[in-house]
Amino acid sequence: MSYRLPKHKESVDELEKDGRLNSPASLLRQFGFEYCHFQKSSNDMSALLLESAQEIVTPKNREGISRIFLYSGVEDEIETGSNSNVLDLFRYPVAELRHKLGLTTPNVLAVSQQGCSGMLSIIDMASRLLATSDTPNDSILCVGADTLPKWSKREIMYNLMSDAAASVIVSRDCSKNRIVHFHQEIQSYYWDTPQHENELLASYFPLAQRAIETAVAGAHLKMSDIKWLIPHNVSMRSWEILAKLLHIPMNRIWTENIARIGHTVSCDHFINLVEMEKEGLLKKGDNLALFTFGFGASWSCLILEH
Amino acid sequence: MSEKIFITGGTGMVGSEIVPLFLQETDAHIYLLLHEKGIADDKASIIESFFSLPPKKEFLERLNIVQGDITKDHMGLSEEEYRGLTKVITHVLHVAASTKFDLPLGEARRINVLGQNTVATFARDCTHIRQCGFFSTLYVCGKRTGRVKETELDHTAGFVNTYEQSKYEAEMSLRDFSKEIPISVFRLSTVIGSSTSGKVSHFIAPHQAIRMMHLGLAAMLPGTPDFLVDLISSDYTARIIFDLFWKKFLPDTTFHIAGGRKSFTLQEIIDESYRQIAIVEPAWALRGYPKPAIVPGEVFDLFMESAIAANNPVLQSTLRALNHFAHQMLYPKEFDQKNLLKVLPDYKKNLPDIRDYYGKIIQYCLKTKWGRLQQHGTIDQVHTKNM
Repeated sequence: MSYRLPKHKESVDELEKDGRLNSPASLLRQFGFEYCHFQKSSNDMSALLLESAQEIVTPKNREGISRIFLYSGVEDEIETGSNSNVLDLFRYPVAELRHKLGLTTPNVLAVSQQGCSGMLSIIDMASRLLATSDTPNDSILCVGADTLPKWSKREIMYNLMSDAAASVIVSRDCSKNRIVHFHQEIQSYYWDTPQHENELLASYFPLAQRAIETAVAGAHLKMSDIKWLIPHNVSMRSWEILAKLLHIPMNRIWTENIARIGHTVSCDHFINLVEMEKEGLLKKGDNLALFTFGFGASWSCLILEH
Repeated sequence: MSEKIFITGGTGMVGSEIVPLFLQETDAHIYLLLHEKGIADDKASIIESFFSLPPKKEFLERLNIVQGDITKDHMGLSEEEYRGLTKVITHVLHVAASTKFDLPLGEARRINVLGQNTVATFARDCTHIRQCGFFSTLYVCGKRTGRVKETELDHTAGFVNTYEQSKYEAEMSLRDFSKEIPISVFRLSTVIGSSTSGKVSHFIAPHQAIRMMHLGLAAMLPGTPDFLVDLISSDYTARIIFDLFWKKFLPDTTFHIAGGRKSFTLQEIIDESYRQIAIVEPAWALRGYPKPAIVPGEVFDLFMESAIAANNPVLQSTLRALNHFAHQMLYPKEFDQKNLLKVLPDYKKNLPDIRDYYGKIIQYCLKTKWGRLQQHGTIDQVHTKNM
């Protein structure tokens, strides 16, 4: 797996000065945030996506890739007006990625509308498809990329947001990060996020607890068997609360990137896993729980065996 | 001389169930202290709307409305009216209180301590006084845990809210009065509504908590799943106090009027609230609101702090509503009822089990939109036929 962040980085103080926060910088800092990365002059995600995918698509594994799944939770900004060409609506980044990677055989599909749960969902889709495949070395390239519109602030519901892209190859015979179980709670009543913002804030914790505990039980594990809870990089305070609800000590939740990067829409877990691996924190056989919440609304937990 | 009963708080949750008992089951004259302006002239409407009784001539003759305010000297009465009452009143039943849990302490004391003492002073001034009853709360024991006796009051455990503290201080100050006048103290549980009609005349903290669940805004509650949330019905409470005050009066005695094992545990009340709301509003169930997590106090506080820091007005007001009573659920206790059972041995046998009437309460809350459609306790819009 790999990831890419835009090079441009600003602190919460700088963002506050530029009027790009909803809350005071002091509150975001209190919630554990310090910096975010974003594309200053463009919201084109294809460059980030390509760089991220190029890092893991190698001459050795490229022939085994039978599909590319792209997840993006934020719609592209489309220019509209009397002079707009409707064909602009039919420019597909997933096909562009296939082309620029020089791949000629994979089928391509893009998925949206799962908020921050999207990457975990396409990985689950990929693993289920591969489970029925009889092709040796069959694999699926799962990519995710989200850049917030240029006009937007860098804060969503008290979370500092970065742009990012991440790539993961899901393969049948991979010796690392075995997919053990996936559980997703969908509450479609909350489909209209602005309308249900307060209900979402209230339901976040009970449903997060339920999703994680159900996933862990579905993997035939106990919470104490989980070596690391890999978070989506939302407010540190929310993890302190969830840790207590789950009876997990905070030192088993890897929260280093909350301050360094903040939250991306759906790439957090893979950014975190890459960094944890670099730091030598992951050992073979470690049980990992990747949890996220996505607008729409879904609470998702993927259990991996490293 | 016939009995003349002076009652404060007669239009409240329990008061409005007690007054009809006096009107229907005694020949006593009732002197009802009402704070509300402009209603003193319309006795018929008071009898109908607050007491759900027909405005019979006999009731109209025996009911006297006294317009006043317990927080004022002489209850805001003229010297002449005050002196006049002290010459005729034989019984005083002080029900009025502020049951708001979030009042500043000074304000809670003004109503619950000074207000009570004004009524107690009046009782002491009455030349023919025979019996006095003062309402209190089980939670004068504050943060104490374990078994709490009716004979106990003093403690240093602290309090969850200003209501508890002010009622504790009020009971303390009754000690001096009890040397001069015959006093019974009735410590009530949380009164949830009528076990027969489901009627809730005053929506208090537990109703707010249920409302938060209905709105999908109840994220978490502090406590443990098996904490007994002591609740009692307004009609049974009224009947018990009527019996204790009128039929079997014991001076210098305190009674615990509690729901005990016929109440829900915290987990049960959450589960049953969700089940009952879904029965009344099947479409609500499709929203899939999660039940609030039951969490240690520190987790609830952390969530509360986050909501305050984030300056989210809806979550803040929701949590504040819960905060002032929910912390009581961190202090499990059991209320001893030796005094009560000695006087009323069938108390527990006749006590309605909340499992049998909770659905009516929820139905009433939802149909009246949490009291917004309520008019002096009469709810035309509520159909209780199937309750």
